[in-house]
Amino acid sequence: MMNPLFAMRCKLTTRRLQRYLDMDPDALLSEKELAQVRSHLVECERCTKSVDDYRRMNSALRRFGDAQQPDDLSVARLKAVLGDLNPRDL
Amino acid sequence: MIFPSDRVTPGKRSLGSNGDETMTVGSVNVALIGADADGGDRARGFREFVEPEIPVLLRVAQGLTGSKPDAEDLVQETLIRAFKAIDQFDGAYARAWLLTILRNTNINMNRRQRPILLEDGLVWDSATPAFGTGHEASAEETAIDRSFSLEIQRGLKELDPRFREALILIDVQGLNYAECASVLGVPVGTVMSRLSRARKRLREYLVNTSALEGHSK
Repeated sequence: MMNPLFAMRCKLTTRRLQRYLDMDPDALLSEKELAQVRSHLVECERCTKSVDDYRRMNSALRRFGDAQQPDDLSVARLKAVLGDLNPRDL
Repeated sequence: MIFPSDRVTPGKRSLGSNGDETMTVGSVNVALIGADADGGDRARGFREFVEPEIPVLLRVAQGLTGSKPDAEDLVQETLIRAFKAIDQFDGAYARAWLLTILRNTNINMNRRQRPILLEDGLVWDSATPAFGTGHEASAEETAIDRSFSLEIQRGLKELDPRFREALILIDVQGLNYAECASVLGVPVGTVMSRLSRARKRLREYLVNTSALEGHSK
């Protein structure tokens, strides 16, 4: 059975895990938080496995995105629209 | 950066050498719209920071409309509206600003709101190597990749549409939290909550189907 203190720390880290993985500009971890997460990952096999799984999922999902590139002709037509924009029409 | 990302760097404003306000978007420095630029500069500046965003706008529009022709129409209308509204642009977060206009334009065009979905039948090219490896994929690795791809698509369909949308916009289409919030019309905190739940549930699905066990790193 998991040590209750350890379980609490795990929960705390899990809530920060997505922010740690994304490093999104709107939700960056502080240096202190970052150090806590890294330190926790060193000692927690379960969270390390979670991070590994999320990275695999992210890689796979990114590849879906790569396969969904828009049609070159559509992009070219829309660039032409941009080229035709005229301030006098405003 | 832990996840690979092509996420946009927010625009930064500064004063140019002639004293005019300028804006940096990515590697492009343009005369800020609304400064004393003439009409030609206005159109040129607009093109410089909007043109690189067209592929992203098209991908998101396709998710919103479910149709390539409709997506192109929507982006075209978005570009025109953005050009007309350029004076309201504050010089930061160009992509998020455009995505907000895209979302509102879609609503104003009275389109039926539909959940954002992944295209059906997406399976990556068998020549693409397995995650992070530089070698050519073996037949076994390719089979595992395809199987994993199918399980992810099944898992996505099991998710609550609100959670799925956040996950597709961020993990598939590469938006950041603020950009995703612009598309969905919700606060960034809501995006983070939905994304976290979506990933957790998708992972649980993949664990339950043993898909993660069989997939190579």
